[in-house]
Amino acid sequence: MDVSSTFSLIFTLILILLITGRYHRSVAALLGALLTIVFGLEYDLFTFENLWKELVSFIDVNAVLLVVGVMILAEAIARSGFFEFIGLSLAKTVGGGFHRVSIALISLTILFSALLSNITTMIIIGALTVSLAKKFEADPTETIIYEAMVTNIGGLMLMISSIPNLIVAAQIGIEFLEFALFSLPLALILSIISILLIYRRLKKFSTMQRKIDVDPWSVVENKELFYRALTIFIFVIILLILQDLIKIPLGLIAFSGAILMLILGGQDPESIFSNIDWGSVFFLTSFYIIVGGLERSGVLNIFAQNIIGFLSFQPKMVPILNIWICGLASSVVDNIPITLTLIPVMKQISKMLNISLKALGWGIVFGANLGGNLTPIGSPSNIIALGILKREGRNITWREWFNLCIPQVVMQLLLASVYVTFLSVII
Amino acid sequence: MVSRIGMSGGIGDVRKRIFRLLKNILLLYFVLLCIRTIQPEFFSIINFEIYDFKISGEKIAATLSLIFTIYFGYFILIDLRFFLDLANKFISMKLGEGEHGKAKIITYDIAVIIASILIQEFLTPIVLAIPYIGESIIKVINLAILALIFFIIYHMANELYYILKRPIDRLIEETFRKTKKNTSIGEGV
Repeated sequence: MDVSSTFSLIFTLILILLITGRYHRSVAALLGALLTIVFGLEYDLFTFENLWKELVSFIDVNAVLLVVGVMILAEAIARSGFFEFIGLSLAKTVGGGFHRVSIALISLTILFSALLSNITTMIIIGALTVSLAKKFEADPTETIIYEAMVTNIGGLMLMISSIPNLIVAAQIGIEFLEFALFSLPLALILSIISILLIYRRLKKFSTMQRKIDVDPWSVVENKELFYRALTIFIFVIILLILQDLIKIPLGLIAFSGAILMLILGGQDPESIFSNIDWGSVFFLTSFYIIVGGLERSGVLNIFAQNIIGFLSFQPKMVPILNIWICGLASSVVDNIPITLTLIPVMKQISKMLNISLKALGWGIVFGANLGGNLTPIGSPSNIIALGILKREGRNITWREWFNLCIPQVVMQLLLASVYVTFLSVII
Repeated sequence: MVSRIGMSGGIGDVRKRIFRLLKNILLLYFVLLCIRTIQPEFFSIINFEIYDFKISGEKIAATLSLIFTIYFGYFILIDLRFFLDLANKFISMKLGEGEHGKAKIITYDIAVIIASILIQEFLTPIVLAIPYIGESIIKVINLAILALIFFIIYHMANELYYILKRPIDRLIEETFRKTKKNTSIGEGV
């Protein structure tokens, strides 16, 4: 068997393990990395002498540091009670019927998921929604599903909002402000349209009126730590915004901010570390090695050549196709491997078909984020939402999920396609 | 009686079938050997013609071999199928533990096939480097992997059959009902 066939088989095997969820995704990716190393040595793609050097060259250290740094910062700020405080304050300010509180919570989900990981956002907002729904004696099912859905819109907003954004930004060279400049308009349009559609569906809750008499400060255990964590977080965000001027790599800024938070934040580092999603970090690092192996064995080149052969007559369609391919793929597989695999392919396509690499990168960002909503297993926030509902005695079937989400997700992907066409003209 | 492995008869039945399978294989081997041994001595004297049809000792030996192969082969195949089903059940138990979706079980099967090919690909150069016995070991490994892949494909085909069975049955029932309805209308007219 030739080298490209073997590496294609390794990649297929890992994709199958990821789709079926037989093993934890980080375990599947670690296995893939191990197979890449073993067969890489067998086929002389690497040598024993340069093995570690080669493997480290596959890993984008900047992106990994950025992910770890942002995770630590987000965990520390979440532990200070900041997000629960904002949620309760907003619900108290909005008041009125459960539909208004739901809309406030959904809007807040978009904002929170722009700063936090989708999982953390869903845990915080989901718990808040369930407790508020009990006060209103309302069914939280639809609200929680819509919250899970909009976490992926929030994931589009900033560079730090989701891991695919961080990977694309680090590998293609998009700065923090540039990212926000191009992603925010689409995220805002999608948010407004989605909220309007959701408002129409949730109007039935308008008769459920209650007064919320909870003090928002009651969720903050230590006000000093709250202010400290908030100050450091805002400081790091400002540094990320100014990255273009100060010319420090994004990963270094985020990682330094995380260390600053661990030293000055006054929180127990042990408990912060125990809540970090290390599985994702292992997954990301291992997948860099798998993609490195695919690149070295020529599989990605063959893949790119086939796509080019297929699309050479319609190069303008590539960014749009990117959105739909990424969207459909990330509805069943994690969006990190899709992003990591497609970036080197897109780099080749960009060179050969003379298309802006950034336009292709935007296609990956939009598709990878929005596609997660297509199925209940497409994104971790969906799984968390279903878990919360199951605890409340509500089992959501795939059909129910499709009824609620498919029309909106298709609309989102269509709008993203129009937007990326516009971007590919102006970039 | 249904055994722990899901086959009627339990371990006693399995033992009985193993012996019967071995007995039939040995008997077939013995009969074919006998025919081949006596063929040059005994059948060479037979050589005659009925009208245009030539009957030679070779032809009689081949016909006899065929008859015995079909006779014993039938019993061998019955027992082989039993063991294939047993292996199938075993694979289902091991691979599809806790899985209800047949599509997911088929995907696991594909994963096992890919893993087997990768193992074979990995082991070949290493084992071939062993002096004297390397080549023989690799032949055994290849055969084992081939047998495993064969079992997995059989298991996959079985699962696929159960996936397709229900819609096909429904389609046949539907077609049959419609045909019957149309016929009765026609008869009425």
